[in-house]
Amino acid sequence: MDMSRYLDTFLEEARENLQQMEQVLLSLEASPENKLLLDQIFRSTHTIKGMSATMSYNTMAEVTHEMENILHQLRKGELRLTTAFTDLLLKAVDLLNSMVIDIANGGKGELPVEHILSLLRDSASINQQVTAEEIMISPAARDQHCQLPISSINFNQFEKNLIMKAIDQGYQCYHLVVHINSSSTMKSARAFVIFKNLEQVGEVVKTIPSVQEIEEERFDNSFELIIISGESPEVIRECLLSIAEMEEPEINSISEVINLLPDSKSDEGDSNFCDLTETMEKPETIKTTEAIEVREAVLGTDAILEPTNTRTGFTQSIRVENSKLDSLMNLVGELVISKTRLDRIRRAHPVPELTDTFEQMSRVTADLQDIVMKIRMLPIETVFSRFPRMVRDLARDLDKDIDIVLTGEDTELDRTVIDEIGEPLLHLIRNAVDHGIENFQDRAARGKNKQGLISLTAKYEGNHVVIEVEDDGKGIDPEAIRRTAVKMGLFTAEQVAEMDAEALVNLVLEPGFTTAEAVSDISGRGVGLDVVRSKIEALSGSIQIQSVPESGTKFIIRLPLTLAIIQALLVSVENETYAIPLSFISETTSVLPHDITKVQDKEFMFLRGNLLPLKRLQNIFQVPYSSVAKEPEMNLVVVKKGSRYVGLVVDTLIGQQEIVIKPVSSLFGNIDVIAGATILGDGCVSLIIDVSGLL
Amino acid sequence: MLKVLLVDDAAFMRMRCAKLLTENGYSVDEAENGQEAVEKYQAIKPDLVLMDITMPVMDGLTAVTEIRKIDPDAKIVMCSALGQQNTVMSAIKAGAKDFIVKPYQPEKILSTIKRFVG
Repeated sequence: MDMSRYLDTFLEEARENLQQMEQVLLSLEASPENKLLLDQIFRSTHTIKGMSATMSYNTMAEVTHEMENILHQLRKGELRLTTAFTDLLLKAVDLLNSMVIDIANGGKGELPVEHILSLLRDSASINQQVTAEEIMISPAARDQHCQLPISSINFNQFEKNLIMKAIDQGYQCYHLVVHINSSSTMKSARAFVIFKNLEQVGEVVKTIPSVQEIEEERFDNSFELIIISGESPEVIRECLLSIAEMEEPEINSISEVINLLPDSKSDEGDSNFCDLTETMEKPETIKTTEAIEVREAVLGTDAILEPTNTRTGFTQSIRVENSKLDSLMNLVGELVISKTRLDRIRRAHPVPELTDTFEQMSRVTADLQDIVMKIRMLPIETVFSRFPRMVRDLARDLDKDIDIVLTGEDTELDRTVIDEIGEPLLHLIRNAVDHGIENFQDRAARGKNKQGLISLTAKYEGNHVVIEVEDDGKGIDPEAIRRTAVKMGLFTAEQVAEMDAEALVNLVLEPGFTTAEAVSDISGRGVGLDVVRSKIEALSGSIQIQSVPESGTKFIIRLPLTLAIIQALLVSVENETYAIPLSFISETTSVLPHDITKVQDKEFMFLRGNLLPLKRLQNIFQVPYSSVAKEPEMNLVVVKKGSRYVGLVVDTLIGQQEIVIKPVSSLFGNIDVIAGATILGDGCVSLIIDVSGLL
Repeated sequence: MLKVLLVDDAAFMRMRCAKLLTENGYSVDEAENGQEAVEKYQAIKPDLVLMDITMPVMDGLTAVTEIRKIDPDAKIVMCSALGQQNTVMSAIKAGAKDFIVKPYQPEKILSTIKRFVG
């Protein structure tokens, strides 16, 4: 069967599952007893194993197989999750990620895995020792353990595979029944000695009863073991008899019969496996609609708007190609334009039926627009989810203890924003970990909690989404900024003396503030923060800093919900109409000619005591002056970007309107004052002013 | 003749044990705490050590670690009272080869030693 056509699906699913695994692992670290989480990560691992095996990425299947084995034991409570374990599993996830990248680049995912495989295999026995050590002496109820003939021992798929592999490599598999002298006390410690001695001659694959039960002394005087060993039965016998209070053991080689034994049917993991392989065997049904892959269930529109959470807490989804969404968006945009055009016709020719029809159409269009917007939305979780891991690793490297708290991960943003916001957030969080949060000693000296806290919050605020990155670190010292600002010649000493703390702190976002001296002077903040700001402003967003020295810093990012349809103020110059995005507008006012001061051909005015540079749209776009005389009082739109303001002189303010942004052709591409174009209700094209280009 | 080092802070126990072992053809040396055991181990290089756990100056667990530093192959059998399961397991992890549970039963001691050194 040709698998290449399923490659995209494979890659996407694998990435999704790996991300989920990483997330769940981190949550598990916080609550290792959570069975639901264990189930979840087991399922993800299992899915990847099934997929990679079907696609013949055997190395990948092998790694997931080993992981699954450990997870299976964790689920059954035979192993306990430790930090070392989480580290190991995370490493394995990293490796799998690299394999996925390799496969995406045309490889087969054949990366060196021996090291991690052996680590994964070893960890099972390491953990057994740890648990054995922690045995409590409890008068546990002693179950009467019946001796089972070998044929009734249930091996699961994994155990069987392991044994088969060992036999292939020339090892022997033995079934042992060990008897401890009936007068013996502290039998679990005795069992511990037995395990320890057997480890010298072979590998214990299975015990009956389970290791845990043996540790809890829930056996009489005998228990059974399956071991793989290169030694003869005689060596094993001697090894056992060198232990105090041991009776003659029963040792049988089962290398010949192991293959005839039935698989364990009660093993949940394996039944899952069957289901999955089944699904993977029928990819035709999955791929009938080519790019649209329907997973888990086919959902109605309602489900898209209000994603129903499954039992596992993860969102069910339909995957659609980006380009299809874009054209849907475009078509809805056209519809909105037609609607405004119809509105004009309706006003010119008032017919009651037309009005009724128009109003109904308006409602449907509005709903449609809403839905399309929401389809383009992705929960910010997709961006947030990689940070806990990053903070964890980074904090470890820096020898700090930092917790990160995420809130509002389900807040949705347009996917263009989602694609772009990760990098600036990464920068801010890295800054917070590195420079914001102090080391243990400093925190202790300031009477702060030893563990630093970074909180990452997303929430809706009107037509915006607000993302906050807050740390409880040392904050930014306004005095240091004053010094740096003066030293760098940005401001005079008098100017900075007048500035309030908030304005000062926000200076670190200025491009000039990124030099090396600034780094050391102001707690290392300012490194590339202007890059963060320009990235956010490119998304029509804004960033602001609040900082209290000694107690923390908060970065507040405001982003528009979507970039494709925006609220804009329509203005006109002569007969031309322009649109100014509302998010850039600070206020509108009017100005009389005698208020304007000219300095070297540049026009300025004083607005509430502040010097405001003026620009005439007519000059910027070189609109020919008509013969019609203008009113002396001119309309002014004050736009802002960051801390810079400019007043745009226009003829008329038309009003606020929702506009659909259309990209302009490359002919206009290098005109940096144009952000795009929109089609107005009358069918005319209006240019959208790029405020950042004006400043 | 096989040499056994007997480590116990209770003189009576040492006496009883030493008698039993001597009668059965072993050469016996005694130490009354872990510190002494380490010193004697270095000097005598016994074939087997019977090590009590709770002792003054240096306890049995520490002594196991110390002796193993001198001789990683040292054959040490812990002598544990009931209820010292956790300590026994720590000792085994630290390198003790086995353990027996007090009160001493002559046949148990003899069979355990035999398993080790014949």
